[in-house]
Amino acid sequence: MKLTTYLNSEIELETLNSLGGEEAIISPLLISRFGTLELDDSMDLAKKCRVKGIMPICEWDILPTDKEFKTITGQLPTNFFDHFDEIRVQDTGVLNFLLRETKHPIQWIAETAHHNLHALKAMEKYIGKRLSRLILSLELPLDKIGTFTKELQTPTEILGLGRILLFYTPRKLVSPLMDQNKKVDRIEITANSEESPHRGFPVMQNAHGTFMFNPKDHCLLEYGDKLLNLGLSHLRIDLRHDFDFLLFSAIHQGFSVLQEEENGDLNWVREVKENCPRPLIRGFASVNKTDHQFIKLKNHRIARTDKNYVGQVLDVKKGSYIAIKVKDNMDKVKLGTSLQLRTPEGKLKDVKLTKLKSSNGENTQNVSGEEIVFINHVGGVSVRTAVYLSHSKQN
Amino acid sequence: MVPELLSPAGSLEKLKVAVLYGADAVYLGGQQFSLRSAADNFTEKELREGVEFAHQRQCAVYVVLNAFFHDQDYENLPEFLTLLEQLKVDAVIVSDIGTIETIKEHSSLEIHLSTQASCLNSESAQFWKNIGVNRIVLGREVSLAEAKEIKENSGLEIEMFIHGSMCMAYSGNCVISNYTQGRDSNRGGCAHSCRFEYELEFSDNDELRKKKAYFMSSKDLNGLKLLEEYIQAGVDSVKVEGRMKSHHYAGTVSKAYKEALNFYREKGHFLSDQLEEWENELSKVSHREYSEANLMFPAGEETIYDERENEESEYTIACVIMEAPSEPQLETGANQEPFLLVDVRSHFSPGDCLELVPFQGPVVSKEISWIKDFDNELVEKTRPGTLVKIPFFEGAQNYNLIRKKEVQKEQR
Repeated sequence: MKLTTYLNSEIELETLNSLGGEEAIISPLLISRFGTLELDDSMDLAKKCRVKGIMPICEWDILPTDKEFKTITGQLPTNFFDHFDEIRVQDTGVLNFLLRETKHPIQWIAETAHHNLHALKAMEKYIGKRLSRLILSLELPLDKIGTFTKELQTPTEILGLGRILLFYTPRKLVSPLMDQNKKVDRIEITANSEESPHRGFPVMQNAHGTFMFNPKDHCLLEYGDKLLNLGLSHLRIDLRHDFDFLLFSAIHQGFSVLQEEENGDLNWVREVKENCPRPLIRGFASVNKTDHQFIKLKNHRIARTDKNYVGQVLDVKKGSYIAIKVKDNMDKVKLGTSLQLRTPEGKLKDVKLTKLKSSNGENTQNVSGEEIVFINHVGGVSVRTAVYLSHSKQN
Repeated sequence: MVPELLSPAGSLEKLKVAVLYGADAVYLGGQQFSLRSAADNFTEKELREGVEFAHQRQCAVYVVLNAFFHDQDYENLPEFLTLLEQLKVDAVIVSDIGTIETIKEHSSLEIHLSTQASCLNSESAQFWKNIGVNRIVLGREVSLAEAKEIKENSGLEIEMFIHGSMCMAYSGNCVISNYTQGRDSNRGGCAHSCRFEYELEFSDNDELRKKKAYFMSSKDLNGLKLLEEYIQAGVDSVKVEGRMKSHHYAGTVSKAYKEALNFYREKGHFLSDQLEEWENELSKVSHREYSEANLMFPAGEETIYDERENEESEYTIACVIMEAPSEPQLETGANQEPFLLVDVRSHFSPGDCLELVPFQGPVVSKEISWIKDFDNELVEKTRPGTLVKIPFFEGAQNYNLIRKKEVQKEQR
């Protein structure tokens, strides 16, 4: 596994070269979310990378509309991509364009969507031999990544250290709150909400829109050995927001030692973590349970399970009636039938039908179709109670 | 070509309301795979009934499978696809390329690409076309002029949102809930963190300035006045957001847009006094301030809803008709005053003026003289979650909505 990182200047290039770095991501301002380099500077830096034997990768990760696409393609010099060895993209339109207009190997950013094995294999199928790398999602636990790398034909990368992007919009959300006379290309502020258990969200506005980051950065460095054995081809260190290449140097050196020595020392990680600009988390590295709470979003006690389901209680008048909207099993609902009522609180009530009236107040022996009927009252039942035939075994 | 009106169906009852109020197509979710985990959603039986109900009325049904799947989410998918094919649903709405592959492998269902996939340009549409997608639900960042280009360049059917709440982020590019609430926003757990108020800390010349703002909250979309532009752009389907929203919303919004589209179908223009009426109707459902978002120009400062969430609306739903007498019942029951059996959704009292919203045509207003429970005992003030009888409204049918103006509360 090799490290990859972003390059913003020649000084950083010198450092990367001295560390023996083999590749660098270059982010042109025009096409990269957090890019700072003009097109000429990007090409120049890419050229210098090649001279040093470092592979320059162009990052085009903004999501353009047709109008923006035209602006971009109108501004990109015809030989722009010739300066780069590979291109990394997230937008399927940009991908389609590059597959047609260039011959470059493509690195596909699958961080935000299509981050399951079926989807990743589909991307391998559609991009074909031009796919040189899959950049995997932070939402994947490490064990899952280990499984993926065995199944996929393509080299894979994951973020090892860097900011976690939570939100990306093309709209400018911060500048409207600032002094109207003040024009800035890049604004960074902090946001806190009483309604969130977390505080201190970094928010950035730049030419491409507004971005919110997690208050804590993503860090997998302490997994050292485990990362080396996952089958990843690259670990990305993203410190470009803090322009901290010294920290990258420390990480690079630490990993070099780790790769050379089995069961190598991880003390350097502690030092790196202490020097990180923000608190750190491991995110979903161990487990991702972000679908586990869904069951609590609805009251499953009253969810309709179709076998033996009769309907739902619409009204209750104490001592007089319970109104039921009959939706199913109507042929089995007759005077004398036993029903089981499941309240929203989970209580079970049994009732034998001694009264059965239609909505016009007439007594009836049975239910003729999907209709509202009024039955004898039983205590402890409320509106939205689910009604089943009583021999059902609903839990 | 006049576009299809596509309305949300968060539950079986809402599906019926949307269909009866004029939707040409509805979209709904099963118990898994869609982005609204908190919505009632449809069990197999309800799905069967919903599809049958819609198809009998020439209304198409699209089933949403647009979650960002994780590996384990595929487990029951093939079985569900078989069911959808048996039920003859008209299409599935999908965002994940792996899901598309699975659908192609296990069914011949028509595939619509969800807005969740953020398809924003012609190149992207071409990519998805090559993969086998039949229709694209464009990202909300796309203008009508760009939509026209995408349709012309790709030859695909194009669907665009016309009404409802807006994600501020590029769809599928927000994971705030994942990290702050432990709920995957792209699998149905969105906690609407963009609607929160935030205290923002600015650092101006080393001086810390704080300001509170709902800076990430978007105004709602209302494209009614741009319907002609949607038609000129060749948009095939105009979509109303809101599977989590009320019956009142599903019915009122479907009706307003359907009447507008029918007017155009008949006259070929929208130069009608009714435009104001349709607009008024849209203002009667609960909504944030409206904007046209990105439809004509890139959404600017004016599209930020910098206010606390406010569910107040000019009108509120009073009740839904559960049983209205049929014509013969009205004739044979001449000796007894005809009544409607209604499911109460908010308080109202005798003497209140209520408005029946018929499936077609103008509303019918009436001051109700009495309210009774099933035992024929008079009710002074209704309670939500009860059934009551009220006097018959001319033209009333099952599932009609009856609303009341909120100001009556203050006047009393």
